[in-house]
Amino acid sequence: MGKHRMDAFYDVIIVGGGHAGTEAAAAAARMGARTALITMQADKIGEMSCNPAIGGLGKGHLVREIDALDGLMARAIDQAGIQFRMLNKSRGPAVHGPRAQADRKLYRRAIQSLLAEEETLTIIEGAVASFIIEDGKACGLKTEEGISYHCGAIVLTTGTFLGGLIHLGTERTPAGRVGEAPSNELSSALHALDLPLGRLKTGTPARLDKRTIDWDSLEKQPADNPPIPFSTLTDKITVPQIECAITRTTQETHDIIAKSIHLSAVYSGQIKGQGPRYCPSIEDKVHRFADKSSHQIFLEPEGLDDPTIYPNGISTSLPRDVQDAMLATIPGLEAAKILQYGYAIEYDFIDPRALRRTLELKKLPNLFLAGQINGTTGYEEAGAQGLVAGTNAALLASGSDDIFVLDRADAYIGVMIDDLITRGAPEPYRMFTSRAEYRLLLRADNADQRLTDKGQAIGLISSKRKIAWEAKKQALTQARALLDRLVAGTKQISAADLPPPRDGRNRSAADMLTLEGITIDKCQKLWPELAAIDAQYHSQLETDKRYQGYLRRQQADIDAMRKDENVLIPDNVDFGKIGGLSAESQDLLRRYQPETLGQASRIPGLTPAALVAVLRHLRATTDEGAGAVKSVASH
Amino acid sequence: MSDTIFALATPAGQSAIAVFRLSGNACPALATALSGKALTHRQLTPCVLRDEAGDSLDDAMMVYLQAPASPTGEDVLEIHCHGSLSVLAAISAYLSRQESVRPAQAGEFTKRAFDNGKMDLTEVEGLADLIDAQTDSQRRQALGQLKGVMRKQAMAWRGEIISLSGRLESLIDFSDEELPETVLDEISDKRQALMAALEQALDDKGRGEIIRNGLRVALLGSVNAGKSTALNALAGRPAAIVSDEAGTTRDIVEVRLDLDGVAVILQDTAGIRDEAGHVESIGIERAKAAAAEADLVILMADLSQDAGLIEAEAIAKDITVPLIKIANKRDLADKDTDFGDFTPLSLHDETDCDRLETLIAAYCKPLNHSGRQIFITRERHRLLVQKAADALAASMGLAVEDAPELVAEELRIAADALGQMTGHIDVEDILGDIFSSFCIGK
Repeated sequence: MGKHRMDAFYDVIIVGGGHAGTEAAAAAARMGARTALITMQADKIGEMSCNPAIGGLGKGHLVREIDALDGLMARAIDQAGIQFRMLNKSRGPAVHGPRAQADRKLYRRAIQSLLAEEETLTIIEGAVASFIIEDGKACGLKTEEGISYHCGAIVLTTGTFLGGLIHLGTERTPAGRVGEAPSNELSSALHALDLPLGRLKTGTPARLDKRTIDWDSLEKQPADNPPIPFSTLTDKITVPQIECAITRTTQETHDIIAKSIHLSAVYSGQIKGQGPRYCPSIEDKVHRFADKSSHQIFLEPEGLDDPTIYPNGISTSLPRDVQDAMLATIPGLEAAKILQYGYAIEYDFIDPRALRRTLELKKLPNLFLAGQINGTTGYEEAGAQGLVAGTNAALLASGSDDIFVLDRADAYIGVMIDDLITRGAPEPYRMFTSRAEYRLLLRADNADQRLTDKGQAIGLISSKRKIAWEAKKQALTQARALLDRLVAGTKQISAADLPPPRDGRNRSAADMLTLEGITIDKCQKLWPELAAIDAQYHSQLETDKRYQGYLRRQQADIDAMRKDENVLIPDNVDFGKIGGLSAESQDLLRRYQPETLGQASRIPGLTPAALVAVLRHLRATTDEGAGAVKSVASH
Repeated sequence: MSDTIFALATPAGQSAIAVFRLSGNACPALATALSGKALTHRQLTPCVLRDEAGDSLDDAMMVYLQAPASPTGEDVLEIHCHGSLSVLAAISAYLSRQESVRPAQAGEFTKRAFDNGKMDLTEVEGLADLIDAQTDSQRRQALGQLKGVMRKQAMAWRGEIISLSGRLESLIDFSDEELPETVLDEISDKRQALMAALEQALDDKGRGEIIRNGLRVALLGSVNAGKSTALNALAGRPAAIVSDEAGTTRDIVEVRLDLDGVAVILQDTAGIRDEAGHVESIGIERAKAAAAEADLVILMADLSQDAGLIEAEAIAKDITVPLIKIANKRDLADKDTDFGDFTPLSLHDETDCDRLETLIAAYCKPLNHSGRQIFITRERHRLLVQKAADALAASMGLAVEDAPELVAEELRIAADALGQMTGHIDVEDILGDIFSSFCIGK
């Protein structure tokens, strides 16, 4: 990490030190950009402000993808995870969800030390007050202290600070997170840009004092043994693993909530923002699902030597005395002491439909946005956006014409960004595996095979990972060749206690692996040569074969999607001049400014006829217009 | 610049009035050349049509539709002339002689309308593919528009799949939430019922398409067997009402009839007619090709020839579709002729023509008078429903608990297939179903 020089010009400046900001800063630095990260408190970099856990279903996929592109999050959680669990373990590998509970302090420390390894990264403490805009482009920042920084590109990752309002019962406090001042100058600077804003809300439960919980009386949930790391660069998890406990709300709890529900900020009408359907407050659950007499609560420690417990499942904005009364009715929590009361927070976000695929603002070139400011929720979603924004900011600042874009068949990251820029965020956006139409292809286990080469092609991958990846790639290639080469007939196959083919034809080892329950180990009796394949690659090879038939079928869909995705719509297209477009379609196209025909096809309300008209127009003008379009680096 | 195309927009054969439609840049010039007048957009204008030599072709009316306000988006000219065969032939010949004017290929008006944004699509996926579709059948499949029963039914099925997927996805994405224990049973009951419904809809022997597209009846036989007589006899009869849909295939003479409520397209192949006297190998090939696309074949043996029945039997061997065998010219046959399963007729005889019509109508009747509801009226829909049913069947072989992601993949395929009939299925629909059904979220 370089020294802070006040007069410096940076290629890329990142504003904000949360999960989007740190990934953006590290990515820009890996790309070789002179990078500065400006944050209000350097010691809070990498802070987990809500539930201290990384991963889960869909989210775990994002973390593996961040890792495949040499990001920080996976390596950090591997150094900080105190309870690793693979969700959906009994199901197919495509829906396995790696998750880990984190020690907040260890996580922060891991992120900060990983950032310290980046030689072209400078960390600056300060509060950004305004943008320096020249020729309609963002080219620098001013802090509240009056210092100016010039740069080639900016990534803004300021989370929920815009118009943040905390609700606790009937109390209302303007804030970022609890105890942190909202940044008002930057807020007005952003408002001055006249970007489309929306309002969302989210909530958090009370934090409990571990020492006041009757731990022994509760059901326990242990960690996986052995814990499976997130990063391909981590050999083994060495952090001690702990248990979580599970308890439940009771009818009494529900009675108290029902009686006080008018005091909840959500139900009193104070909150205008849309909350997430997948993460309702406890008052929401009780109100909407009145027939359910009990809801489960996971008691999750926030650290190895931290007495704070995060009771996952009872986020609330009810008044303090109601929160106290509620807890007293929950088994194990009868005497629990609250360290910090639960609350709901409302905030403005910038409608992500204002962004390009690179996360650059369409309206203000050189300014990129990533994380919660774009209407998402969760560290993983934020980190993944930060990585894409930081990489593209570095490319832009270097004067390159390349952009780094992942599509819906490349990565969950591609699914998320495409969802955001074509549909916006009507509720806080969270990743689910069901959002990925090519879920069988986009697995947590093959993120490196999908993405590391793409990262390498634009210079995003450090030499350490490059070496590890090349070795793995070679081992996999050799193993696949071996599996194809080894062939046996019906008799040999039955003799080795394997299911003989019904058509009497020969089968390769690769063919055998497509059968349910057949593993490389089981095939070794028939083909002892298979011992040459390192055991760490078995499940990878087996999984590829398990889904092979499905993946072949999906390929046609993917090809069709990419065909439309490769039809670029230049920025200068005048939709008013395209014949056969209704006024409504013109309006939608102007509003969304889709960059590709594929994006246009996903705009809700745009008719197929309109798409045909756009395509026809592009075909007719391509001859003159070709070349005005940027190439996509990942292709 | 593309050619100006023309086609007879009314059915082939004699009629009171016939309409030619032309599309392309040459239309205004053609109108002036034919009528000596400059036509006004959208105004039906009486005129005498004259050829290059100034000879009168017909006393007619024409209407000019200026681009882009026309059905194809190009300049369009319609010639409303008398429907006598000699007038039609003369106008056709005149048009064909003009530079960059030619007869339209099958589907070509449609293609131009589509290219000029005059038609809508029900397809979004693989849009570029669709536009690049080369053959008319590909394009026609892509162009289907939905109305009525099928659309409602497909939307209902789609709704069922969304709800099924919602339950399944909740098992995957919210596996550590408390979901009702009945979810697994609900999933297997629902997919069973849905598959049964789809299979029942598919098991209709293609009646929907036949009713929609018309029953294709091919007349086969040697040149003197009396096919043209049959065609003209059936077309000219008061009972056979000629429909208003245009014929599209140039090298086949076809007549559209309404027999017992079913549209019938009666076809005679030009190829056979051109062969001199014998049914030679090329003729047989053509006949086979026509018969392969027909729903019903009327095979005519020529009893005036010694080998008439034998030749007809030789053709019959290769016919795989339902067959009506007619032995024509019974008045010329030997008295002791064994007709086998051929029905002896003489098509110069009015009563025998009635019998031929009755034979065809008897075949049509069950198509139109079945009690069961028919949903599938287009091949594209059949393929999509079949795809959905196949996917559901494949999912039945998978355990929901162990491999929910594979069951979900099959459901996705099924939902996409049905979605292609009604618009897109959307993951937001599935998530919406999950969140409205279950209490999710810690």
